[in-house]
Amino acid sequence: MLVHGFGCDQGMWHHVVPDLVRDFHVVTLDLAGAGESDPAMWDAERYERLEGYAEDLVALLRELGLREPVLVGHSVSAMIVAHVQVMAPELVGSLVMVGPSPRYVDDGEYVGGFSAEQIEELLASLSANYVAWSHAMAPVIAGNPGRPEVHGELAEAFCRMDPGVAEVFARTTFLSDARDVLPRVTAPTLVLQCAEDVIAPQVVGEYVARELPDAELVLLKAAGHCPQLSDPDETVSVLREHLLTAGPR
Amino acid sequence: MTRSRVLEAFTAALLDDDADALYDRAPCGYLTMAPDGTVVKTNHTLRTMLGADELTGRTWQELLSPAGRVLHETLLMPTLRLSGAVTEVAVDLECRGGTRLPVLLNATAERDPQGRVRLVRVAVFDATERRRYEQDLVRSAEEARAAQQAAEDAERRLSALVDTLQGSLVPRSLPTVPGLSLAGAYRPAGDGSEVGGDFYDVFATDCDEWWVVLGDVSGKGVDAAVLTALVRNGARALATSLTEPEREPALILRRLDELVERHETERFCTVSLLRLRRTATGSWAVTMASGGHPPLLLRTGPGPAKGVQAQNPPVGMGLYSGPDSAGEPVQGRFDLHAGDLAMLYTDGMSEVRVPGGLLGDEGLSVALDAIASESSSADEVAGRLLDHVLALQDGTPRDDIACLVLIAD
Repeated sequence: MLVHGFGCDQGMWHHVVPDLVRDFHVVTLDLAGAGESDPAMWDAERYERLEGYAEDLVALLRELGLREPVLVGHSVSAMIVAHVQVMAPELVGSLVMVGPSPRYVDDGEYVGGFSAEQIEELLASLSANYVAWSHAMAPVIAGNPGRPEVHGELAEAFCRMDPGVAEVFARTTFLSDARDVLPRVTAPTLVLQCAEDVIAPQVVGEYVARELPDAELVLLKAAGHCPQLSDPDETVSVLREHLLTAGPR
Repeated sequence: MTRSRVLEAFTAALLDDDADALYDRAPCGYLTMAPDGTVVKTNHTLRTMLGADELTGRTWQELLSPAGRVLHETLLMPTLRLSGAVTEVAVDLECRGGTRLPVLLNATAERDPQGRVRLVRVAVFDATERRRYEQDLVRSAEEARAAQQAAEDAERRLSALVDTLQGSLVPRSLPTVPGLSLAGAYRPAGDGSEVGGDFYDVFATDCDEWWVVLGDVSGKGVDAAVLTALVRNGARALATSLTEPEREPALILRRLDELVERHETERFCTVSLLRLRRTATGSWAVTMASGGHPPLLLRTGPGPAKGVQAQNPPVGMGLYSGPDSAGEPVQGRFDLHAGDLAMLYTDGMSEVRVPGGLLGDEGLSVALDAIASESSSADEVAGRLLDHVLALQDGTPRDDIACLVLIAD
């Protein structure tokens, strides 16, 4: 089960799904508020906490009845799947965390990579961009693109998110602190750390692997925060190797 | 412009502004980068914007503010990889010397035959003024929200104050009087956001002697409430401290008039005072005096209640003494036997519009009879009468409403 992070939707996995489905049963989904999720299920208070998203995934796992599924969480969803495993260990086989960070803001000895001021600036910047984009997207959503240079791209709808929803998700993502969850994860976990990831630096990936009771840290050559986009081949091959050797159990 | 001059200008532009010059000196910054962010090429305009001599070999991420880097990773690159273009991304670039340059970016991705992103082209527009304007808008919106919040807080505090004051005008609950059922109804005018001038009070001066006070201070608001408190507490103090033969409603009215006169106010007050004494047979001997107040309604059997007048001037106008004095204040007396009902009320209860004029004391008396004949307690009478009067005004009273219903056991 591939779970996208902040900013986008399940389209994030477009480049890896075709390869993965050859060997695995793959589930992708849009988190509440993202992509094609039902706007009616959005609840600003519920999704102020990572647990809100995690409860949705627990319900989904119960519904699907998968046998020892591997939950792959990208970015903030690495912490969401950690919550899922702690909430309902019986529903989870193992975890893969792609570019995880339990806390973005530095805190004493802990290095998250951002100061509190930087995160506030980021949140302001994100909300400014989402507001602008929601206006730009309006004609597309209304079914009248009128923008020939991007016309016809299915992905035009990609990353579109209601500004209010984006603001809540951004705050939840960048202000939450899931450090106390890591030691309580009982499932084996693969931590994928990208090179030169400005969002989740290597020191954070190492922290995550250290705090998890049963973790393996793999350093990817892929640069940036989204290896499934910047180097889908490497991402698929690392995932495949891990999944085929580790499971099914 | 003549045709030849157009041609001349065209040729000059063509020669001076060739493709290289257009790239280098374009009115926006240009940057080309590898997918990992390595800067491949920039134009002169961008380097000038950033105060940099050379950018090639550095990374695009280094040029962005920390927030911009996150935006680049979570939104810009994913969108470019999946849809090939982004427009109007707002980020800050970091210039030489640590200053920030707010910009808007458009970017497109160039792909290789396998569909992989080969390079990214970015157009950079200085958005300093626009960003300042947006921030002003955001700030204005926040200030408006804060002002609204402050106004709401102030209103809540005021409403709590009004409640407190109002609570001092009528007892939170009426005392239990052996041998007498008592019920009160009270409703401030309109939405209740302003302190009203109506009040009532019931207190004992002896184990078999009770006093009932009900009145209406002219006007509304805190000023009126101050006078209301004066009259209510004054009546209590006088009835408690005066001895026979001074301890009579009419004489207390005169004292109250002096009290309010000394209090420098243009306001005055209408008020009814009842003194109830339990007789050996269990009935109540009542003396009453009204200072400009609507009559007491007395119902001693089936049929409309009759008004009991013992009319004196309103208190606070100086009409109880001096040259304008109407003489000795008058008072009436009646008995309350088991089942008899007496009601005091303010004009908010009677001066209510009905088809053809006002409800009036007579109309209220008829309504009281109908309701009393179907009710089993003072509470029920007071409640139903209030409902009746409110219903005549679509639930929103034009004036304060107060009434007290007494039924002898």
